[in-house]
Amino acid sequence: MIEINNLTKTYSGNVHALRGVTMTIGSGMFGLVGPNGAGKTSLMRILAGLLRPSSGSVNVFGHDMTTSQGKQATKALLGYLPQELGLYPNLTAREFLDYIAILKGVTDSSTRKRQVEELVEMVRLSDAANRRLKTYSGGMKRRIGIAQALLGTPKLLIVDEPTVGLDPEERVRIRNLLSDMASRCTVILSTHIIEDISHSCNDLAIINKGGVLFRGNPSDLITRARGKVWTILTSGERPNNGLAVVSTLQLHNGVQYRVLGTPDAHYNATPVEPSLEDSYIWTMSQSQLPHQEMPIPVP
Amino acid sequence: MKNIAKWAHSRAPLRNTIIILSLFFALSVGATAVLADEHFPRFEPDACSFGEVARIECGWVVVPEDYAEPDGKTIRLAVAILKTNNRNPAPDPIVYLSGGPGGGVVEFAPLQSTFMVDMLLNRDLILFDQRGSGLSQPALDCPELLEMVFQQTELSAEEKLQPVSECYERLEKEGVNLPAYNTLNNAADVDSLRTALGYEQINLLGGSYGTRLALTIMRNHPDGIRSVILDSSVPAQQNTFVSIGENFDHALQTLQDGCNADLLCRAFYPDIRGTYYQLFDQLNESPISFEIKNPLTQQFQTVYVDGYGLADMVFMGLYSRDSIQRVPATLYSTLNGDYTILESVAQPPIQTSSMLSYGMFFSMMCADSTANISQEQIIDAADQYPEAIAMRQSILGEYGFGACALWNVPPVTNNSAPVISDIPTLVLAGQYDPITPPAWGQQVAENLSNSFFIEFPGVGHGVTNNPCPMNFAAAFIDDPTRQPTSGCVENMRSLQFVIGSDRIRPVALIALILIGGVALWIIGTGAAAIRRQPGQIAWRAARRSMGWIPVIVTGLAVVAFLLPEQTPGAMPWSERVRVIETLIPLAIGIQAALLFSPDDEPALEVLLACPRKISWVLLERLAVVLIAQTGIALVGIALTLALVNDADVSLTLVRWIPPALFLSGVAVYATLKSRVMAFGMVIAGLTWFAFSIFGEALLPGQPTLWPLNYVLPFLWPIHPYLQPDSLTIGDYWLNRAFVTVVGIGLLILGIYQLRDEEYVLLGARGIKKQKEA
Amino acid sequence: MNTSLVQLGKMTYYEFRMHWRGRALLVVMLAIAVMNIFSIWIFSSNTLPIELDMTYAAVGLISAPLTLTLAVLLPIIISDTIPKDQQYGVRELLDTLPVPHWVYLGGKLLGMWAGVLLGLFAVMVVNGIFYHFTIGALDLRLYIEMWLVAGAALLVINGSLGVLIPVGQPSRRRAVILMVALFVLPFAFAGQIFDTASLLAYINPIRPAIVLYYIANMGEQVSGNLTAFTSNDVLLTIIAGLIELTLVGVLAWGWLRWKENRA
Repeated sequence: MIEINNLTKTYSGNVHALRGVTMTIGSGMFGLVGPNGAGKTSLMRILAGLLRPSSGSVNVFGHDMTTSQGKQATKALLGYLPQELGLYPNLTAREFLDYIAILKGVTDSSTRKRQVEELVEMVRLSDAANRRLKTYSGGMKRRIGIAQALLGTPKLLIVDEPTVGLDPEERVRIRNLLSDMASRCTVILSTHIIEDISHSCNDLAIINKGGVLFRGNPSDLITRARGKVWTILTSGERPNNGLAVVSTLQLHNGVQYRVLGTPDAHYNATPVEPSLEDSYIWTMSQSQLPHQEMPIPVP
Repeated sequence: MKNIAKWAHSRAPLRNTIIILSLFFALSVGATAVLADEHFPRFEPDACSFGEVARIECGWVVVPEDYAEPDGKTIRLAVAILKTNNRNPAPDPIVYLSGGPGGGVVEFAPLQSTFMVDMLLNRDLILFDQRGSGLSQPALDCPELLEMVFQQTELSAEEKLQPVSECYERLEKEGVNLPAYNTLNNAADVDSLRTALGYEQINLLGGSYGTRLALTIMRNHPDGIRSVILDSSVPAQQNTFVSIGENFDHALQTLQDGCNADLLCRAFYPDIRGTYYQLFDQLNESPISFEIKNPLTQQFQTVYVDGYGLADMVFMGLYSRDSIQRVPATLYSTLNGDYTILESVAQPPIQTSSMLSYGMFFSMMCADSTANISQEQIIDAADQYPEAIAMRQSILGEYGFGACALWNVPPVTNNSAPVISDIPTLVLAGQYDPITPPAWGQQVAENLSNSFFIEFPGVGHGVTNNPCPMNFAAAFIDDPTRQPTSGCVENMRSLQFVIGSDRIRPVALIALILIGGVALWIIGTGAAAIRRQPGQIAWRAARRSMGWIPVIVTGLAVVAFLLPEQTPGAMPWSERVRVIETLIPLAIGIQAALLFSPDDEPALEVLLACPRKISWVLLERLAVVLIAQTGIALVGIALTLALVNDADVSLTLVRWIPPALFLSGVAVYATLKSRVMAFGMVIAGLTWFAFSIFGEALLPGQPTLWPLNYVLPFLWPIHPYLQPDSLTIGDYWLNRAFVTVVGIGLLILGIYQLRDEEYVLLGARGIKKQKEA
Repeated sequence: MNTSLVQLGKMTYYEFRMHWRGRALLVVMLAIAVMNIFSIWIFSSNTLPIELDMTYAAVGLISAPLTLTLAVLLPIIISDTIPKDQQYGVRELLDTLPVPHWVYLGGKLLGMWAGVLLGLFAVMVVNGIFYHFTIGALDLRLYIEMWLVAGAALLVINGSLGVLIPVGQPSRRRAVILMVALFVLPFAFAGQIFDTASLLAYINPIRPAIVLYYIANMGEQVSGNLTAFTSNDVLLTIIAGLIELTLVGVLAWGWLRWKENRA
């Protein structure tokens, strides 16, 4: 259980990364979505013990993250895959994993060896495991990143944008890996690719500008947007008047626009079932309106 | 000749007679003149005793031994004329009157020409050895006395006077007219020298006894004297035997006042006089002896110091600026049992004594100073000033007076009234002068109507050895009507009193215990953590990150510097015993700077998210470096011990460890504080360079520039490259411990920078606002 | 050709700006200025055992921090100029652009020269003014000569070596280690090499002739026996340095070409 209460984080230069975030995260896969600069990485880093909260409280499995003992205790249960993963270019994959295992406290060398082998197998890098890391492709580096996060049987896995820059096959592979892990531990997945969430998370939060815009499960998010998603087939102008265009499809008899909002009657719009992406964009667009500037804390 | 005869015959006989008579007259005058030159004073050019030197001409001035008997025996005074480079020199040279009396100067003419280069700018400089001294013939040396001084054993008062009478009897037997060697005749010699060399006017430059001589000349032979410079004056009306106690007492008080004006000296040396008394008594009870190397003979000599020896040392120590600075430190440290400073200021006795002709000294001094003085007067005067008890053994005190009793020359009675003159005179005096105090200079100036008196602070006896007074003298001679002024006088006021290492020792010891205690506790905690979970050290990763190139390079460097034969005159830090101490710490320091820099560490975030503290990464890499370099060091030490015959094994084994730890601490702290590896390396390199190359200049007592003189005394405990023979052995080990502890302390401080993950990740600016929010 | 010159000019401009945005150059210039001011201040507050002609003393006093910093410190601190590109991945981008190798190297060098020269000029003026107000008049011709020879020449030679030698290094750290090895080790041979005007002294990267010649230039009274180096040796050292620089420049350019052809 992760309890976050009124968490604030401010950087020098008056940058408010997080403003009064309050939420609880249970077991399973939890998705954290939001645009770039929303505060996702700051929240991840605070949960991983890398940053200190400016104010508020964070409790991870009962450990208070504002104290150093709490941080130490949490790190022992933690697997962390940062957004920018640096690797030692001259170490081989096995050596690197062995090193991180020691750092995580797997001091017994036979246990360590076993874990490294298991994980190398799990991320399907057994063939390349003795090559130096500088020869690895981007996808392979990510997989090693996941492998190192899984060392030491963590109870909490924090993964920050794991699929950025990967091809669809790699993305699927990593998603499956993480889903498998979700059955054994809490996984917090931060991303701005909605697809990653839709296929695996049953609990998510949308963050923007340091505040929580939505907290709930995917179907609740979709419900929010129900009745707000339409398709408009026209050969004339592109629809506007406060409508957000989600996609544009060239058909033989005109252009089919998928829009969000309430279109005027003359558009002949057809309502459709919202996808998760639609709902996300709808939620984001609603938060820009003046009367909805303050983030809505959702229990 | 034939033509003249023919011409003479062709003219009138009267004219012939006149011509012949004129010729005859000229011849006879010439003959008389030549015959007169056979008398005195005359100058006989001759080769210089030190060989041919450009712009120095030598010769002899022949004068009567006794001016009361002008046709009697003659003596020869050695003269050296130093010519100026100036194309239009002034016609009046400077004649230098040396002190002592009995100090020879012609032999050292080439050296003098460098010291007195300012005097040579516009006019010639004439050096001469006064009658009975130096190279003059006869020279009244007393080898018997030198032998006694050389032997340095305990003798009774009578035993010490024995050589004096031996010398006296010998000189008498050789036919020397000792009573003729007095200041009056000496003054006449100078006038003779002037006429013999053909100068209408001369300038006099006299120091110490030379001022007494100069004043006598001003009184008795004022014609031909253009200007006079008196340096550390002896007024005609004063008597050194009587006033030695008072003068020394005054000088000690001035010393304490001067020390009190210096912040550090006042703090560390509050009671110089009391310490002097204590030490005087202590040394008389149990004298000390030690070996020092005679710089002239390059041989080791035993120097034997009792209370009276100490008194002499302090007395002579107040002469020059350099040694004045050391007097308080010498007294306090010797009293504490630390003889390093004492050994550094002690001079082999033979060196100072052999430059004086004691026969001439006694003849002059006894004739000048025994008129109307009795033994009781001297003792009474001494009793008023306890310091004078020390001077009893001195040649300027009771001992000297006792010697005069044996040196049977009649006192001069007509040279004791104050000299009154209007010859332009510059009177210079030194603040700390123990024998001819500034008050004496003022007394002399009072009776000289055209005189300027200047007291120079921060110096003692013989002020013209310093550039500022020398400039004054040169400016005055160029224009004796104007008083020279300059800001350089005030600059001389502040002395850099040496603070001995013994004073700093307790401070260093306390600091060592405090810092060392804290460091030990922290290390202990860390060691306990390691013991709990030994598997935590990631040796392999650490080894891979540090690499093997530094090992190879250091190994090669060590071999390259150890094996070749040492060239004499190479830098001191490249001698064999110091190679390991110099190279290994540098290698460790440079690598220490490269151990861990947050900005350059690839997997920093992952490392920070692991439960093991990030500082362990740095420590295990440092351990790898230390282990590798220790290996090389041990090999190098084995080589050193094999190549150097009498190396101290235990010292060689450990002397490199403190600088290694110190430099690694400096490097790590610099890198972590600046977050840039290059800075850490540069600072470590600069520290190594500064302390190893300039090591000697950073010892206490070395000359330095203000305000660094406030820092210098405290530098030795932290000096990573202190050598075992620079201070006492105890101080050396204290320094080793201190340097080690400081290095470890810096290491701990550096690692302390890594305690906060956020700081490591973002740097200082990232969290600055944190504190405000 | 025109494009290349424009590229060169722009590269120089941005390199210049980047140098002054970073901390390294500022620190080096401040170090020189502060050390000089410190020396001048101490010098003016003390009586010295020898009389010095003050107009020349300016040169002797402040030449040591200047020459040593430029000869030893600058190459080390500037050594990550090219490896930084590699480490941050900018090189990959640059390789895809139509920038000739000589423009790349030239831009790096010119940018560095411009940056350091500006700093040197400022320090020269500041130090000169401070000297003037603290001690007195100084010989302008000698002063400027020192800044030109000991300053600008050393900058061009040693600074450029600092940029060019590490051209093949993959990371900042390796670059710094390499430069330290090249520029610190010669100090260990100080006793053997420094005092003799020999070929070894001319090619010695820390330029002992220039350093010692200007330190010793404190007026006739002092400079007599202090060093065996004359102004001829300074000239020869500069020539040797320029030859070294040309060689290294050609090697660096060649290495870039070879790498491009290999990849």
